[in-house]
Amino acid sequence: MTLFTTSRNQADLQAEVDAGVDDLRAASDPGAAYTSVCVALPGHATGADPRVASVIFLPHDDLELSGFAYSAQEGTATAKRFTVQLEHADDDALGDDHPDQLSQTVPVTGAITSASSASLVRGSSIPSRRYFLRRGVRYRLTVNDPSPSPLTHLSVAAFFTIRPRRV
Amino acid sequence: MTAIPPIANVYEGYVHQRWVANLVERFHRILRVLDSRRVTKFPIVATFNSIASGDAPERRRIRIRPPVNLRLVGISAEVAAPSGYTGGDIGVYFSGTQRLTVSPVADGEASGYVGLRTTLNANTTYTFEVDDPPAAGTLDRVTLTLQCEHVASALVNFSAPIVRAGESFSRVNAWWAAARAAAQAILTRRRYWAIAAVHSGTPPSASQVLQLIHGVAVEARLERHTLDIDSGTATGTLGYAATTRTTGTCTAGTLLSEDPALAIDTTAGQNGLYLSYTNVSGTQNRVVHVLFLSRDA
Repeated sequence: MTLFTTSRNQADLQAEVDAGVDDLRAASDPGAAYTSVCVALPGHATGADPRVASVIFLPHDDLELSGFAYSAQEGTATAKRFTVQLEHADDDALGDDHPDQLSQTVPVTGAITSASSASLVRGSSIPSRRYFLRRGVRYRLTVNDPSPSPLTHLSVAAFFTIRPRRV
Repeated sequence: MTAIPPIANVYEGYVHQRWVANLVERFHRILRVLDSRRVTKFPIVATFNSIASGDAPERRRIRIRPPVNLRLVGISAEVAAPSGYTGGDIGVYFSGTQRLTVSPVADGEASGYVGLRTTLNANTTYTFEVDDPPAAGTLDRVTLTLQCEHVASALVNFSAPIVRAGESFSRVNAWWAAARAAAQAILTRRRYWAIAAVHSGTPPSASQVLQLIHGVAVEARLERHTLDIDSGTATGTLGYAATTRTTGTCTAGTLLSEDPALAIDTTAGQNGLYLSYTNVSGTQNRVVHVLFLSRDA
């Protein structure tokens, strides 16, 4: 009984299986294949206690911040600005041993430039550097007071991608 | 979607056991690892500002209606109470059953978590509700986080033909065809997840508009969205980049559920997907908008 194939056929099949494995690995890249998750803040924004104008969330996966989107409604015909912070909910949650992890606030400024009152404005902001969030650590997303005067409604979403874990 | 290459040739001859065993084992191992990772974990975060004693349930609940089976693995609740709060503990309920109790701290934040492992069936409405403060008082904020998973495993029915030493290469071909089909099934199984936005606080008066914004960082398809309000009636415009569509009319107490199959292409512009919400009648203190999205990779 011949136990060996011809080398050409064996090599061909080996190459096909190798290619299949490579394709599977490429498709398994969560950075490409996984979804995003979102945290949305409720509307009102002005003069609020930071504990109120914030949301705390606990990722079950390692995340990378992709950006922010916001929608605002101003109450007066005045241009306004506001900032958004993303930070650890617990002080010293990571310490200084994880410089690649999110260990500082991410400042994001939204600009409301409409000249008419009660108008709705949307925008988005992409961070200038990469920020990573670690699973099992609590994070807080806070909307700071708008300036110079109140907004009647503000909705902010932070969105993330799950960090790749290759096979 | 990545395609697995087909077998181009008809192989002749016989196989060597060790070689084919290594080949089969290697591919199956990758298949199983990939399949086990077809779990999308996501939180659905809902924040309710200002929950007062005596507030109706419609002001302190989120209802979800998934388009596919999901797994609920945990619920966390975070409560911020004002100084001087003496209102007592807050219960968290899942479909009418209390699952969690949080003891608010005056002028502070308190949290609790309960682990679950429950299937949320497709096209079924589930309610998550928090207590109103049992005594006079108002909670500044309550955040509910539903930790969910979508499982897209595709290897449940996979059984590859057995290949033994000395057998024809046609057996290897049969195995490879089955393995390719299994791999393809994994790669074509869609992933689902959900995001939510809640408006709470100053109620819009008649004809007023507000917007709820969501973030979507990847190309996806909006499978379903639900709108829930606590009073009156309202309509909305769902928008993404230059695409908009009008929702049906939502009536308090009835969950509006629509399946728009809206394609979201993040290269098209803004990452924000929004609901422009228009009050028709009554004054809404709570507006809860939940999106269910999917993608094919």
